[in-house]
Amino acid sequence: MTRITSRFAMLIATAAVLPLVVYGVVSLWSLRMGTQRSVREGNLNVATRVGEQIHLYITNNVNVLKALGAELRGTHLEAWQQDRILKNYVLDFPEFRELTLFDLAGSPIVTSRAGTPEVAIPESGAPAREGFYISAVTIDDDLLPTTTIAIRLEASPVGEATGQTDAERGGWLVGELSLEQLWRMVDQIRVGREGYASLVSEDGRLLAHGHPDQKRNIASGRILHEHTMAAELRAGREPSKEYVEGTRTILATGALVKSLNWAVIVEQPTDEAYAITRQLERQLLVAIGVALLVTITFGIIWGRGFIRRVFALRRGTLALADGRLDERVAIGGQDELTELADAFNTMADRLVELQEDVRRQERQAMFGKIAAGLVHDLSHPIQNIGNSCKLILKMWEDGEYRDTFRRTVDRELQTVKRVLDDLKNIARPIPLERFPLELNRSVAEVVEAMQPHAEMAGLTLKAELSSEPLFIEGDVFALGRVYRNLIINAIQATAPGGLIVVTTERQGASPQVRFYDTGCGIPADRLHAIFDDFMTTKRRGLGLGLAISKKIVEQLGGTVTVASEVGKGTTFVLEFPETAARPMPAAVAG
Amino acid sequence: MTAEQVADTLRVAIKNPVSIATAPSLQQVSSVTVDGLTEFSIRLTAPSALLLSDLAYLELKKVSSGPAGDAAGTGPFVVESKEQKRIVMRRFDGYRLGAPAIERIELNGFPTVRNAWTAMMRGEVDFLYEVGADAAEFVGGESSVQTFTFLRPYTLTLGFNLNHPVLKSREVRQALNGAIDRDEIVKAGFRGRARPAHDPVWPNHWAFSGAVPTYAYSPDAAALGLSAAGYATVQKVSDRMPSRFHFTCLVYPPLERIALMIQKQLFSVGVDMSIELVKLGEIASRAGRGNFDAYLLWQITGRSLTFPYLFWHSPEPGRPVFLESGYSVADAALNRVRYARNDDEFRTAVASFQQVIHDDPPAVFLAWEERVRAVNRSFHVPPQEPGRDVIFSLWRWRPSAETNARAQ
Repeated sequence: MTRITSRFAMLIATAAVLPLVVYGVVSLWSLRMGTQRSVREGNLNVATRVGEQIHLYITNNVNVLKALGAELRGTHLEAWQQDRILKNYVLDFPEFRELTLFDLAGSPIVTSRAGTPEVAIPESGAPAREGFYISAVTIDDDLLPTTTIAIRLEASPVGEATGQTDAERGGWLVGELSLEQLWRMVDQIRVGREGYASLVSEDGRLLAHGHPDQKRNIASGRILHEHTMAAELRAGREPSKEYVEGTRTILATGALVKSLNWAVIVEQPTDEAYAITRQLERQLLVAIGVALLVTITFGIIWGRGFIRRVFALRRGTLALADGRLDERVAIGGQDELTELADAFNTMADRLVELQEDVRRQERQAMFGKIAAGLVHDLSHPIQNIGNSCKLILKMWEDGEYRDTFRRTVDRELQTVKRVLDDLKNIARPIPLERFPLELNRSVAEVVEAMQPHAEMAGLTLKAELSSEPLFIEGDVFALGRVYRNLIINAIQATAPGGLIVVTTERQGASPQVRFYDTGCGIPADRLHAIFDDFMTTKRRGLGLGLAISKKIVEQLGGTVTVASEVGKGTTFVLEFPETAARPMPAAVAG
Repeated sequence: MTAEQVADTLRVAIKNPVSIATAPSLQQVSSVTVDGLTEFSIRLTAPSALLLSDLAYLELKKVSSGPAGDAAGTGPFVVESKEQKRIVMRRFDGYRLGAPAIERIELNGFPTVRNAWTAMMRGEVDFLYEVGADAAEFVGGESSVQTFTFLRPYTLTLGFNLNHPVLKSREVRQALNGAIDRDEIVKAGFRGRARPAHDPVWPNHWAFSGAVPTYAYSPDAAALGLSAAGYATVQKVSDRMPSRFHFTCLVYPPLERIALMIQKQLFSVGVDMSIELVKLGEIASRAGRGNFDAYLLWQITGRSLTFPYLFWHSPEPGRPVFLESGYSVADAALNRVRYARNDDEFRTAVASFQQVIHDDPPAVFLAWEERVRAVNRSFHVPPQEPGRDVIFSLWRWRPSAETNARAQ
């Protein structure tokens, strides 16, 4: 019962649940990897785009410088005109706080400042990037980031001709750039609700941060040497990283600003960045869970239906084995199990019919046997009575014969009565009168009475009695019949010259009586049935002797056992419970 | 403090030139008499519409110094100690509107806005007095800070010296007023965080008149006006730009960019304005001596008419001179303001003063700047009436429980 249920559960698990679970795990993994990758790529795109915009912002301003340089060179402008142009540029391009034209030696020629210029030409050896120079970013007193960009103006192609202005002899155009617009650009970058962009200079200074609360770090000139993302980017490694900050895990992606080597970093807490991933995962988990639940539910419902029918078949089979042939299997459906149940029921019906046939045949055989036994057991006494009746008519006057007639008829009628009593006793308890008796004596009397029969059969019958008295509770007449039956059977089974020994003894607390003969023995396959009703090895007779004997012994609380070997003989052992009671003195004396 | 002590203080003040310099109405005080423990009377030689506001600017000092020094006052906080860059004030429990919730205030000076702001972010400062237009949006973005915008009672002024041979011409000054694009200055110079100004009367003053005409920006009309004033010819002098005339403007350095804008706008009408960057103290000194052609700076107007009176009334005996510009045409109007007997007279007088300023402008009044006061969110600031400066509700601010605990 358990095995098929377990197997069925295993079947559902392996055929439906396991694949679904595997599918779920693979799907979840794929979903997580896919969505996280797309989030990272999205943030990376934001960082890259911001980097491009910053680069564009710087290069646009460099282009303004170049345009200004073009206006100042080769146009033979007077100083006041150059001054006006510079001032106009400063006002027209508010990204510039100051524009100053220097000669090659670094002396200011003209400046947009009302006073002394505050910018200077790049230091010797400063690296040029795409034709311009840029200084480190600083934060001014108004909290705004600023830097200086410079381009070098080559000498005018006309050479060292007389009349060239300072600007035409070459020099530097330097502009102090307010990165306020750049700052606003970074400020406007939002990724979700909590994702911000920041800008880190080449030397690790925080230049801009989209989070308003991070402005203090910019204003305080904090150097972010420890910022892992910027370091990773500069090392050319994966532009995406996760790290723990406080209690939250942060997803950081970054991109370098072309030619400036500044790093744009987009940071977003993973719980927000992967919120959609989590939501999709939850939805997938719910879907898989529901599918699992449905699968298991249907599996259980269907499996229970299937197993219930198998169990019904099993119960029917067990009932049949128990002999309850009226048990039938009732299962619905149209499948093979239904056909099997139908076949089972048909088989049970057929078994009932067969059993009825067997019983009928057994009854008939029994009746035949009983009838034959009765004929056998009763025909001889009836024949004797009949013959005696015929002779009495002729020999009525013979008084001796009448006496013989009377004894003969009485004896034969006793025989008839005994046969009929046996039949009666088979069906109901034998009426016994139990009194304490001495076993040796009851055995000795019967053995003595049976001596003539043994001698007629050419056999030696002897009793070997226990030296101590053995007391049991018994019916002396019923026990006498048991002894006689066993001795007669032994006589009939033993060839002339054989030996029959009846012994009494105590085995522990139980008195025993053994009947041993050297007869033909009983085959082993029939030994178990010799105490059954109407069972006999003889050709004639009812075969009730051993059955009635066993019944008497058991009613007296004893047991009967038999051991036999074909060709060597048979031993019956009667064992009784010993009693502490003693027979009446008269009975003992006899 | 008793009425007697206040009366003593006032009696000293009316003889003190420093007090009179910022409170001209004290010159009208003839006597101060004590009427009771908490009452005293001030007798004037003439009616004064400026006395009450002048008293607000007056620094009262006890005649006899107590343990807390000689400072006296009637406001919500009392000066406890005063050092060079640090003033400590303590709550005045007897303040007439109720005892302030803040027990103690420390005033500290910082060299730059950035210094002050970063100190605020570090939790060392709870209140930032002023943040300019450039930094206002970044300061306001900080989640731990609440900001309050107010119209600063200072007007950005391009003032002229009427002793200058050209600038003495009313027509020239009128033309220069039309040559300046105030809206552009507000937009580009202050990122829109300012309002155009046309006269020195604070727009939030109850007596301000909006009916007085203003100068519309018109460079063409300005050029015509200059030509009509006798400056039609554009001449080139040495290596300077060709111009109708030239003057030098003293410029407070933070206003350099605005000065460049003005310079450009004047250039477009043929006026050559040189810029001379000068420290504030020097500008004040030179303005008082009349040693300038023009100046560009934030000129205080205050919330009353006292400072316009001080700046634009011609010098008077017994009163220090703030500005020697040679301007006197507004004297009559300003006297009407000073001696007004009631609100109507005062309002009419102010409108008359605004009109005179328009008709014969001593300067180009450019803009009123909106600035921001930043307060740490650890203080609860009650809702403000529109246009009110949040600092005037300082006595009603309440520190949070955490702030109180931190202060312990």
